[in-house]
Amino acid sequence: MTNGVAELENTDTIFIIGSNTATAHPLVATRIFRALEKGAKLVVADPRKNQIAEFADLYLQHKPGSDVTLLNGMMKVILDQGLQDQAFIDANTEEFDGFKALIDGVDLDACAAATGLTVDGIEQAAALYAKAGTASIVYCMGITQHTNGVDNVKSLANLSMVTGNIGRESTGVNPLRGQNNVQGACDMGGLPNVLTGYQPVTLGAASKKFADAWGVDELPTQIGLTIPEMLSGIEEEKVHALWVMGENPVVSDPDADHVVKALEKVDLLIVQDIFLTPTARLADVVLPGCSFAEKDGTFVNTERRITRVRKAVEPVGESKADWEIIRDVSNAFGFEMAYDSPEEIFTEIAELTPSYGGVSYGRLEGDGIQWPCPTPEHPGTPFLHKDGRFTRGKGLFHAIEYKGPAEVVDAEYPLWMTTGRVYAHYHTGTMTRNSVALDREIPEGFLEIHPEDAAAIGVCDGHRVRLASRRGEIETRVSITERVEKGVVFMPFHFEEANVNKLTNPSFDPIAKIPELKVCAVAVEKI
Amino acid sequence: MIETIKQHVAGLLTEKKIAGFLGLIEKNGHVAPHLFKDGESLAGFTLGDRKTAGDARYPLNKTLVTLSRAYPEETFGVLVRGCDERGLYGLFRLNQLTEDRVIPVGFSCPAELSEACECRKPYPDSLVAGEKTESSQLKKVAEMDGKDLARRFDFWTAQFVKCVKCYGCRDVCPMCFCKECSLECEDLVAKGDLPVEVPVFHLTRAMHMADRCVDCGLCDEACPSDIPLRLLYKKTAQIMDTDYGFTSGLNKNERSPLSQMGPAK
Amino acid sequence: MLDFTGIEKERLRARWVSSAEAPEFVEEVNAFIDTLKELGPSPLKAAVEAKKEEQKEAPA
Repeated sequence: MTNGVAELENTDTIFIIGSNTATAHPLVATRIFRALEKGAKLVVADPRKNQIAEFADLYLQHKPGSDVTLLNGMMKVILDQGLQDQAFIDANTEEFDGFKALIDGVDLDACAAATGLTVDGIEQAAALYAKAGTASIVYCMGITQHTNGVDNVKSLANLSMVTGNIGRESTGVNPLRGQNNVQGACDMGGLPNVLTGYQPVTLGAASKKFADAWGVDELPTQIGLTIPEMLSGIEEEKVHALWVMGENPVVSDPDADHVVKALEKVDLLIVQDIFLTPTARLADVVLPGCSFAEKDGTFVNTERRITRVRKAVEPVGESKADWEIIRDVSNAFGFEMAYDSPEEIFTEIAELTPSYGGVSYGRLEGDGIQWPCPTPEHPGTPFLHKDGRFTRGKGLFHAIEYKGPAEVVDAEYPLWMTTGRVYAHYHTGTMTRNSVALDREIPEGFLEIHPEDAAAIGVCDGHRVRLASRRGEIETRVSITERVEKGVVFMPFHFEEANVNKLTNPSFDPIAKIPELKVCAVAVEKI
Repeated sequence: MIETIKQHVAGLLTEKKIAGFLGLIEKNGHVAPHLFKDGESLAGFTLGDRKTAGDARYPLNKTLVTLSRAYPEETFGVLVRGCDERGLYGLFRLNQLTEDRVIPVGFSCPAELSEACECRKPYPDSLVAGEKTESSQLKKVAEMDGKDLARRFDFWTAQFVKCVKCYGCRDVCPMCFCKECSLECEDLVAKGDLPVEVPVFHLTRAMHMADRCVDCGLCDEACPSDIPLRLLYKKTAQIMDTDYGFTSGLNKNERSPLSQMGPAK
Repeated sequence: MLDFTGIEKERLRARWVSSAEAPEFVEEVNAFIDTLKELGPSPLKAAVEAKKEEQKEAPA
């Protein structure tokens, strides 16, 4: 998030797109509810009418994958009506002209047709966002999990820059991170292209710094593999061993049957987890990790806040903290790691990572610190890009043309399918489906389908159906609801028994390599 | 005030009147529940007042129930405000705690907090430190009663649909201890979808709290959707008071009218 | 509590009737049906319906 969670409380207009906020991020929703109490306006755009949409002043049910069209349409309205913040654009951004040329060419009627909305709806959304004193964008996987996920995010950046809603309190572009420490994992270089604090591996100086610190001659300066590349690498016999830590790709990754084939083929599969997940069941070696309550360290949350986690109970059985496992394996391979505590590792992180430079365990008591925090005197950074000073200097506009989803509906697979979460479960259910109370709350998967589509295939609420895509088929029961539009179906992906990711499309974004989990074409038939 | 309490607790511990004292500790920049086992260790002891009085509170009684089950022969001391002590009386009545195994160490709330809570009795009987603060009136309930039916309906419907069914209100509640909870009974409350059944979920809980709720307000603080649960239960308590002259935990040894046979008084 | 949350309290009635008192039961149920007919549809249902209508009319 460019801005802090609590800042949402004082925002005038909140624009949520592709986020099931109330269900998936209830504590972020708390802030949104408080803002609404204070009179804020709420605009929600999502192909599925989720719970937070019930509170929207304006709800836009756009077609899956049509986000760029919707956003370009909104920006067309903003520029046509002169609602942009020209002073901010002139002072703090570049490439505006190229962007404007593209937006000038946008046809609102065509936008309306492509998104399934009305021109009036797009105009209202643009006005609510652009006319607000402070406007915040909140988004989640509904934006990113597309073959044009990067385009979607850049379009949101355009929208915030064109109205000057960035670099001030209670504004910004705010992706909600899912796992408690996914931000921390990315910060630590858990990505193929960067070292800690997003220092590119291709940057000689950065890898030299790490090589010196670790006492080696050099470190690879090539970008590593993304998950889809690892899987295809296994098939092409370029990848021979895979070490999966705290992930469950058999349930979470698209085209699950294909994932299973790859994991069965790889010479050595090591899985490190706290439960024997469907992925761990395929492993040659399972390394028992420990849960949050059994280890010390830090978590970094969605608003870049670094906080301490403290061990409450001793690890169960033979399990060890992840850092201990990595250290022990490294030592066994002959590269000595002498760390004795997470604090020692954190000190090294601070030394090698400019944005963490001023953070130490001593400063993390209480509420923690939001990075960047470059020096020990620095108080941390509640919101980024203050006064229009962007990380790269000036804010860069991108002219983004609409690209449709990789797979579209046809006669054989006539329904759009999108996937997501339900309130009782978390991700692949590794933890929540092991909780008796939560699993009782929602024990099985289901397919949300519009009443007219249900009538067309002759099923009633609770009937079982066969759901098929070009990649596979599963059986599940239907839940008939107007939450989804006619022609669109929704299914949660937490359930390995009816694993919807056997159907989803592994096509991925060319830059971020994120798969298109949110859109594919399916057919439904009564069993 | 805190020094008086510390001395009192240190005395109880030294004289071996209690095996441990369940209170709050300030540690790592946070306030957390803690079992103090000897007088020396009272260094980090706090009343939970950080920025304002009582802004860091925990259901200590709930922890005490767990503790007492694990060590049924031991006597424990526990830090109580007025509401916490009402909770203790309620838990004695409901056979969740044994009175002679608990030594409450009480302190009073300041007038400001009493007013914010609209507290009926902002001090405990077992007052160790502080003065008996004056009780406050139920303004918000009266305010709600003053609205017409349709306005009340709109207000509560808008509140209830925010619920994400996290059960935080139940799980934090020091008076909720049933092994089988009606809120998880599918015949009463449907599972599997949000919003929860309006108003069934919240009114079911309100009914079950009728002779239990001690108006501590922890549910209100725990709710991630900011639903004014305390206001709802205050109304239930008001009905119990008006119709039966009963307030949960106000008087020690008082039985609930809901567990007695016979005509209403 | 129904009244407090904006639902007419007349919509809920609890009476104790013995299994040997069939006529009283019939009378009670008939009287309740009459009350409900007078009250008309529940505001709860109406509110849910209205919300749905609102959404249909909304520009989306």
